[in-house]
Amino acid sequence: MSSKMSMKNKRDLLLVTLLFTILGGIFILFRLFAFQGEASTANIYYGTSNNPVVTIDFINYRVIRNYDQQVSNDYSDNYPIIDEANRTVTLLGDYELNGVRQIVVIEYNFGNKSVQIIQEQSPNHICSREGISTSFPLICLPNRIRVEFDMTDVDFTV
Amino acid sequence: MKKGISICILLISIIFLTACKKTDTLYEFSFYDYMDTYISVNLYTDSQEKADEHQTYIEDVYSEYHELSTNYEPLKTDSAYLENIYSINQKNNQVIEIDYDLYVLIQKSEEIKTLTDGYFDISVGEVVNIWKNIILDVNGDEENTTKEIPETVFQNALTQVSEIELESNVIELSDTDGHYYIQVKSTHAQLDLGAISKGYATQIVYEYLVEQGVKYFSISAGSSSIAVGQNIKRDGGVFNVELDNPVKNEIAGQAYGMIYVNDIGVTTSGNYEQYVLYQGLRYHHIVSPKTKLPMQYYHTVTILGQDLGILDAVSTALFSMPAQVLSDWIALHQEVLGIEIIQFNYDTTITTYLTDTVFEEYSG
Repeated sequence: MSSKMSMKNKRDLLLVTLLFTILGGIFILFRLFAFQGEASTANIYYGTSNNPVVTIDFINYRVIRNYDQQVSNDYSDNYPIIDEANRTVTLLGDYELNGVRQIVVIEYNFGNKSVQIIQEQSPNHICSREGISTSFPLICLPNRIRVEFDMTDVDFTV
Repeated sequence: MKKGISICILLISIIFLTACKKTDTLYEFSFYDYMDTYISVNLYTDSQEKADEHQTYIEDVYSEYHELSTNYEPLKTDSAYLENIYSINQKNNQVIEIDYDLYVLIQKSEEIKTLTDGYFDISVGEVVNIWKNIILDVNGDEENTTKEIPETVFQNALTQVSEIELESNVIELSDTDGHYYIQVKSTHAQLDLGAISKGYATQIVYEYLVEQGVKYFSISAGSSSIAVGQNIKRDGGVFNVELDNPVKNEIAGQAYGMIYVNDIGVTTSGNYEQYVLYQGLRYHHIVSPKTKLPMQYYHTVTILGQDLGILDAVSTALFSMPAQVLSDWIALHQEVLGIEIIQFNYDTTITTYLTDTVFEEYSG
């Protein structure tokens, strides 16, 4: 009886192990291959607006300023700042230090169609710790700036 | 029970072995410093060493042809080369020794000139510069949002180009004992390899990758020129390539159609990236050697073919041909050259000369 019981336990254990292995395998596969599509554009949004302030066009290799950020006169610069030499886009976030709104610097790369937040001020620096993204959205809070990707079937435009 | 375990193991094996099918990995690199454009290369190979080797070779090719063909600056003092287009343009009428690679490139340009009945001509740089300067002035002027140029500027350009006498066959190439020479037989003619050197270099890169057994790759040389092998991500190895709409508006959208291609080069000559308007017509950087003016027969001419070395130059030539001349030319040369054409005409209709490639025009 007891030997039969332990046999059954062993089988259960084996089954559970196998199940986990299969699930683990599927998870790894999903991570590796689920996001194989490429982004055609990355859109940078500020606040609750659904109109991107800046569009990074990975197909035609250009950065498009759609409109200026509304910023009070206390800030001397005009945002967004598009720096093509350093391949960065700088927006003014909502997070304030000593009453001054802080900038969020987004670096883009046409080669691997990726975007990374390289500078921002916030309590936990969550969005700059996200690293480089080619597909998942980068969300900066409390700066209220987000980067979202448009995936596409198009490989090139000529 | 044993059967159950076996099945499980089999299942796991299938899942993992499927994942291991792709042994090659993607390597991506890009260059900003050559041919006044952004060049990006994606290729699949099995090791970092091989990828580095390919990158070095490819960069060397673009770097060499950039140095040799630029007409903006002289060679650096420590350059490995004898002359470049800038320095040749300073020495009209002199017999100058040049490097073999530049010699072959100029020879190829002259062949394409003959092939296109003179519609492609590298010796009209002087005329091209007049139009380029007007376009640069207007596009650099942030206050001029309409891109419209005043009559005085246009008339001035016409006067300037009419004063330039274009001589035929100004380029004389010769070689003796393994030395190569050029003589530009004119007091004023200026050479401009802008419409050929990038495609020519890309062809060298393309042949290199094929020879190296790289099957999955793509080269994007600027916004209007690509060369592709097979696409690893899609059945049939196909790349989906959209054709940029040169008269973009909200209704027509950004692209006017799609082509499905692999193992081929595709390049578009167009009037829409840099141009000025005069009386509603676009004056752009592709200047007809016949009229000395930018012509308004097409908004874009897209050409597909295996020999990338001629694609850029031929599309430039076709752009200045009236529709009937182009059509007759295609009838004569399409088969031999193995090329296909998609024209976005000035009246926004589309004409195609396709043999194998599938083209889908977007509706609306």
